[in-house]
Amino acid sequence: MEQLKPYQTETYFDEMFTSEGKVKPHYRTLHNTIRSFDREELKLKHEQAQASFLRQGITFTLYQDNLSTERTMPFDFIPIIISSEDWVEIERGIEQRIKGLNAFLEDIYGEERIIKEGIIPEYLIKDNPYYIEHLKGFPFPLTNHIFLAGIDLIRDDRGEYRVLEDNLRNPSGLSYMYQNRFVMRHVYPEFFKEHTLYKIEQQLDPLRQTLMDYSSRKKSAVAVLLTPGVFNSAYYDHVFLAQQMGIQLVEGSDLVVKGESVYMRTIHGLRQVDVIYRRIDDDYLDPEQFRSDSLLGVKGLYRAASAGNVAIVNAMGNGVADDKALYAFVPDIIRYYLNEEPILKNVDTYSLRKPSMRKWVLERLDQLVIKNVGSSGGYDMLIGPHSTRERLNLFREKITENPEQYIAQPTIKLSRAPAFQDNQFYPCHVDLRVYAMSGKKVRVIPGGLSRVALKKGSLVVNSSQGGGGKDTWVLKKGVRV
Amino acid sequence: MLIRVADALYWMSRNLERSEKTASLLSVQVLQVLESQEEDLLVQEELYTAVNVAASKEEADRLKAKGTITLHQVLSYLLFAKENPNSVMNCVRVARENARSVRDHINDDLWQIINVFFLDVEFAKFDDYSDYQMQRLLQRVKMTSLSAQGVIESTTMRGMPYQIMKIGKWVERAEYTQRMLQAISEKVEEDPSSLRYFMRLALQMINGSEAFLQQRNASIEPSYVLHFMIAEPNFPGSIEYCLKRATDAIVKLEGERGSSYTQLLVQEINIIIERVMQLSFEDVDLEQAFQGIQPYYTPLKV
Repeated sequence: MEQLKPYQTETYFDEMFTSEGKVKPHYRTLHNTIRSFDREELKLKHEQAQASFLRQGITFTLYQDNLSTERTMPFDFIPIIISSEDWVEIERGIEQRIKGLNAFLEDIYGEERIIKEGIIPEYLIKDNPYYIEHLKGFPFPLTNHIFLAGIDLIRDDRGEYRVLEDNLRNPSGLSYMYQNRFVMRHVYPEFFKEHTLYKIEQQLDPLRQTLMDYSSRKKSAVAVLLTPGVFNSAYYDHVFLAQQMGIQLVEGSDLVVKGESVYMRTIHGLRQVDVIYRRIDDDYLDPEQFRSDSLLGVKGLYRAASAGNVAIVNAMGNGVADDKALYAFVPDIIRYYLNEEPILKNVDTYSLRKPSMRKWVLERLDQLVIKNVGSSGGYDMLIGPHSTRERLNLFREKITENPEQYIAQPTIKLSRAPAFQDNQFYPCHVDLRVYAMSGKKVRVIPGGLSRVALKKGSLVVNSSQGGGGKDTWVLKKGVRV
Repeated sequence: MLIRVADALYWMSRNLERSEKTASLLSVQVLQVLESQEEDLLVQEELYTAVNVAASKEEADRLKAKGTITLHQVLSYLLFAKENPNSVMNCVRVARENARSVRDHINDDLWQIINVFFLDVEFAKFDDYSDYQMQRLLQRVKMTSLSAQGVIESTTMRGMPYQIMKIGKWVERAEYTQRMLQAISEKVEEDPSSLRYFMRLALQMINGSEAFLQQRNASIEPSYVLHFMIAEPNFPGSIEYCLKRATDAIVKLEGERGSSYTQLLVQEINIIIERVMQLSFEDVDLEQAFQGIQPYYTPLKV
C-alpha cells in the first residue's frame, strides 16, 4: 500500500474506515495529516519512535530457554480514536463492572449471599485455585478489593464493545499507555493538530490519592510499591508507577515485619509502611502464610494486614473474580448486587462442565476459541478456524480429560485498525485495555492501552507474542471533528 | 532512603567514576606508546603499572610472565574483558544495572546517558577496532562520565540520593589516586632512578599535569608532586580534596538522626587513609602530606 487509503474491511469492523471505503468522521483530520507525509518521513519517524523507547529503557523482559532479553514493545503510530459518545458508555460500563466485582469479592469473603441464593454455584468459588479460604472475615480496608484494574475490551463485527477479560490482580501496561502518548507527542506532534483530547497526565495525582485512601493513619502515611525486582517482566511498569505516584519502589528484602507492623529498612533505621501496592502474586507474598519457598515476599505480611496495620492492594484473593470460568457469571453478578443491566456485554462463553454443552462444543471445535481458565497471555489457547487437525485433536483430548479447566467462546471477529509496519500500511486486529482505579470512589482513566496484533492476520495481541501498542485518544465532547 | 537504594546509587556512582578513570589512564598510555616501541623497557613498566592500577597486581604479573606486554593486550583487558570485573565494559554494565534498579531515584536525563552508553557498547563489535576507533571509544567513556556528572550537578535535588552519589564518586577517586601512588612506589622501589620519570607519569594518570604546572612551584620535584597529589586542597584529584568532599557528603547524609549506614562509608575512608600512610618513596619526606589527610580519619563509634 503506497499511502494510507481505505482497504477492504472484509467482515471485520474497522476503526478508521467504513465498509463502503469511507473514512469515519472522527478519523478524518488524522487521516488527512497522515497522508500529507511521504513514506520516507514516516519511516524516519517510526524509527525515531522505536529508538526513543529503547533509549529511555522502556522495556519488558522476555524469558526464553533460560535466557532473558529486554525488549521494547513495538509501537505503531496510528492512534486509536474513541469518540466522546463511545467513551461515555465505556466509562459507565467499566465503573459498573468494578463496583459489581468488588461487591462480589466482599460477599464471597464475607456472608456468601450469592452462593446461598444459588446465583453462582459454590464449586466455582470454593474449587477455584485463587480462592483463599482463610480470608473469610478478613478486614479489607474500605471494604474494597480493587485498587487498580485493567479491563480488556474488544469490538465485535458490529462495532459493539464487549469485555473479553477482567484483570483484578496485577494488571500491567499502564506505563505503556503513558509512554505511548509521550512518544507520540515528541515524534508526531503534527498529528495532534485540531484534536481536543482528554489529557491522561491529569490522572496520576488521583491515582496517588486513591492509593492513600487505603491508609488508616491519615497524616504522614507511607505507601510503597512492592516489586519482585529488576528481573520481572513488568519492572518498567513498577518504576513508572512508583515514580509518578511519588512512592518508594521496594523489594521484599527492603521490608520487615515487627510486632504486626510493616517497616522498611532505611539508612536512618526502620520506617513504618501503611499501604503496600504489591505487584507480587498472592502465592509469593508471605512465606509464612503462602508458599514457604518464596524469596520475593515479606515474612509476616499477612499477620500485619490481618491486624489492620497495613493495607495490601490489590487485595489478596482477587483471582477468584477475574478467572475465565467465573467470567461468564459477571453479568449475573452485576444484576445481583447493583440491580442494573450490564452496560458492557461479555463475549458469549460456554462452560464445558455440562455434558450436553461439552458435546455441542466438541462437535464445533474448528469454529470456536478454547481457553484454559487458569492461564493468561495467550498461552494454552486454541483458535479453531486457524488451527491444524493435530491441535484440534490435542484440545479435544484436553477437554475430555479436564472439562472444568476450559471454556469455549465463538471466534470473535476482533475489530481492526490500520497500522504502519515494515514501511507499509495494513489492517491489524486490536483490543483495548482500560484502566480504572478505585478507593473511596471509582475513576476510569480516559483511553487505555490499545494492543495490536502486528503480525499480518494474527489475533494475538499479547506483547510476549509479537503484539504491539498504539496511543489511544478519547475526544472531548462538543469539539468539531 | 532504603539501604538497598543507597547501595545501588553508591555503586552506580563508583562504577561510573571507575570507568572514566580507566579510560583516562588508557588515553595516556595510547599516546605514550606512539612515540616509542612497546619493547622499550620504560614502556613495559608503564603498561605493567596501568594494569596494576586499573585491575590488579596479579593480572599485571600474569601478563608480564607471558613476555612483552602489548598495548593491545592492555586495552582489550582493561576495556572489554568479561573476566575482568573492573573492565570499562563491566563497570558500565554494573553502573547501568544499579541505575536501573533505582530509576525512581535518579533523574531521567542521567538514566538516559547511562542507558544509551550501555546500549552502544553492549552491541558494538570490538574485535576489529582500529587504533583510531579505540581512541574515540576512550573519549566517549570519558565524556559519558562527565555528562553524567554534569547532569547530577546541574539538575539533581540536593537530597540523600545526591549525597550518596557524591560519596561514591569521591571515594572511588581517592582510592584510585591511592592505588596509583602505591603502584608507582613499587616501581620506584625496584629502580630508584626512575622516580622523576614516574612523577610526571603519575600527574598524567590523575589528569593533574596542567593543574600542577599552573602552581607557583611547578618544578617536577618529587616531594612537591607527591604533596600535590596527596594533600593539595584545591586540586580535585588529590586525596585530601576527595576525602574532604566525601566526608562533607557523609555528614549531610547522616543528618541529625545519625545512621549506622554511614559508619560503613566512614570505614572505607579510614582504609584509604591507612593505605596512604603506608606509602614510602626513598628520600622523600611525606610527613607534611600525611598531616593533610589525617583529620579525615574517624575512629569508629562503638
